[in-house]
Amino acid sequence: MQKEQFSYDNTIVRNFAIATMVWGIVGMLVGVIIATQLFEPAMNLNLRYVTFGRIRPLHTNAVIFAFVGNAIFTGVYYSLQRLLKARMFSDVLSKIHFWGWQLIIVSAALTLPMGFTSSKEYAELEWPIDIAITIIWVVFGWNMIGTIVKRRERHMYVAIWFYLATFLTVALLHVVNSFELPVTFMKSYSWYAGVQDALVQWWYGHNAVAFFLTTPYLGLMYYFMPKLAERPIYSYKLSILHFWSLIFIYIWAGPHHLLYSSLPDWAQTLGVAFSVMLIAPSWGGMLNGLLTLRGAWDKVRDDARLKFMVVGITAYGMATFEGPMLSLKNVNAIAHFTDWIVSHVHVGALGWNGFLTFGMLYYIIPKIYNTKLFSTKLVSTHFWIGTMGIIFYAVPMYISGFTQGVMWKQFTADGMLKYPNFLETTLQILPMHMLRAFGGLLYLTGVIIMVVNLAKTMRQGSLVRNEEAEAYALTKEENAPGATYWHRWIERRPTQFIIMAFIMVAIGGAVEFLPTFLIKSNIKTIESVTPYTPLELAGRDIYIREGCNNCHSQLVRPFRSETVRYGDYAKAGENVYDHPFLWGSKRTGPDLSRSGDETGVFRKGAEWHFKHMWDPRSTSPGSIMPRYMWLYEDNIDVAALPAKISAMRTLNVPYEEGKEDKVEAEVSEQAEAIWKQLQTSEKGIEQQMLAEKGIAVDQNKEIIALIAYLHKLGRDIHPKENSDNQTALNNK
Amino acid sequence: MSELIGYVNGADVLLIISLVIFMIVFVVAAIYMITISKDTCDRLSHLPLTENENNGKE
Repeated sequence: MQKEQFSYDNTIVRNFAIATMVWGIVGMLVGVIIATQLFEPAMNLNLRYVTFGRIRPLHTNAVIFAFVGNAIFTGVYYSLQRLLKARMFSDVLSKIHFWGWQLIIVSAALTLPMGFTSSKEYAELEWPIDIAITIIWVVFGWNMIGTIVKRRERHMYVAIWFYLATFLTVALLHVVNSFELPVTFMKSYSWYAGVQDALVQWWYGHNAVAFFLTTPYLGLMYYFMPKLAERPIYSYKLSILHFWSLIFIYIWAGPHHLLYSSLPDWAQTLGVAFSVMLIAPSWGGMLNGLLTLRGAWDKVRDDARLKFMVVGITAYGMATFEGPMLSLKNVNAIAHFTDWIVSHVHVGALGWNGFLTFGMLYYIIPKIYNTKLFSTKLVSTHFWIGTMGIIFYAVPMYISGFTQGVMWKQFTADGMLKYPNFLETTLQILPMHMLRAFGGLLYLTGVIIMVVNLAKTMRQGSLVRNEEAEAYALTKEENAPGATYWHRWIERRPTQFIIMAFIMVAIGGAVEFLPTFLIKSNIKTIESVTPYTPLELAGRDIYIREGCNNCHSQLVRPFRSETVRYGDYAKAGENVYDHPFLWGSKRTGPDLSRSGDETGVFRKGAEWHFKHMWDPRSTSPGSIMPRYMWLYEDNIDVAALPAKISAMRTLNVPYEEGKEDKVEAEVSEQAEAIWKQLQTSEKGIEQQMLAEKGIAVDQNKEIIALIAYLHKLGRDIHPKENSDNQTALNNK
Repeated sequence: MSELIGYVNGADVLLIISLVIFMIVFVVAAIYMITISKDTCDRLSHLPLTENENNGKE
């Protein structure tokens, strides 16, 4: 039989590699900027577009979907062609994929600072961009599966299994989590509400980590580790077992992000059980990676690229041991909402994703440019600076997280909270935040060194755009199942493989979702809980726009330390009208879910909020919250409210027919009540504004809507008659 | 245990089904792993290292 001549497309690999480097620097730079804002809030220069709440999602989206995303595509486009002995299915699809993905990233970079956000973590982008992501993801899958179909190698190597599982599951996660009702071009409400929204979101959020940050990188590890070590993977059998176990178990673990919340206990327990089980397949992958170096550890001493791989895989092992430990309820009670989680995430991101990406890029670029690395010394320098960066990042954050967790829970001998003022716990950890920013800066410096090194490598070589190759075509007999092992029915056939993988990942989600959505007793309603008034709804959208949920939770856990500090613990029924839910995942500032509870300890008056949002340090000396001066300049968007009320009604929020026509009057009435409170209690505030910035504040400003929203939080749990006329307004 | 699970309507069935499904998946994957021959495993594990060689027949 004659061998077929063909070529590998290296141009697309080069393009994605460059995008990886560019977006890596951008994403990490934004990370360093927001890190500095957590000890010096003025680092936002008092600009709305660079406040922590708005650009924290920019950082996470940039590093996850831009840096890691492009790195995945770099590795997949390089390895897939070679493992299958085939050029990519379509150069046109490759180009559409590349440019489409970059366009999505640019859209994110523009819209997130402008405050266009769905508020759902790692899924903040608004609905038009969600649609674009879906289309481009399908293009990627089409191109990948097309390449598999026209392959010249019968077997799909295990790396390709991980790529296919990634494509399939990310598509499923993205589509299900992005069900939202568009209100305007850049505004939508989640289709789900409260607890259900939280369950879907963290099913997505956890598995975005699993299937965007883990499975594709395991695939890359299974390809690039043998290449760099020049020896096969330690155990192919182990890779089979760990692949199927991993994709099956991962999908169940999402509820561990919602421990002690109002999610039904059975779902929380299910999440914990599967999280603990997850150690086994995760460590199966780690051990398989590290043991590939058996008898060849001397290579690690001389090759900094292997050092990156080894530290990266070790970081994966650490993070995947720590994750299940954090899912244990007693550990989670201390760690959740603290910097501990930030550290955990960054050990995985900086170590596993970052270092594996660097090792991969140092391998690929010289190969496709047919040259050697410009400087191996610089690779080594990058490795040590990057490693120091991870240490300077992670260690202070562990200390900070543990400090927070313990201080929040500490009582005096008299049974009082030892640190009743949340700010005390914040000020305590500021030195750790400074060290963390230094760690981030070190890591970024390493990346810049890498980019210089690789740019010089590119310059000294020449891109082999179409790399010649040859292989025999597959014959029909070879494709037939025949008398071969039964499992080849799956591993040789992408369709069967995808169906099996889909069944594996769909089961967990279905078992968790269906009862929560269909069995009413899982989400008990509370009679006194009413929908938001139009003004409160406007305030809620401002809260979402400013990304307040990035620093403030709205979930009081059933601990004495929390109920004493904030008030009553969270109940499922109080969030039934919350599209989307806003429980948050981090407490850089205190929980706000009881800030409107008039019988509680945490409620602050309108005048306090008014002063606080103008200058947080005027009411809370040392606070690291940014100033929100534009809320005093911009008017409430009353014109948008009727459409929002209609959308909410479509989502089963019980607004009466014709509510839209009363919006203006209701907004005016409630705003006037709040304005009157401000006039009575803080007569000088208006003059102060005028003097400081020439701003004339009135009841039409956004700050009034935000105060109305904050005073709604928790109020329905313990309603008090005749206050602010708000309860009465709710019932209108 | 069953009494504890029984507090949540329908959850007893759900939890048991979940573990049974997991056991089935794990056992099938284990059989899959065990039945694959050593020669096949060796060839498959060498795929990244033999990409410039012939895609020979087994």
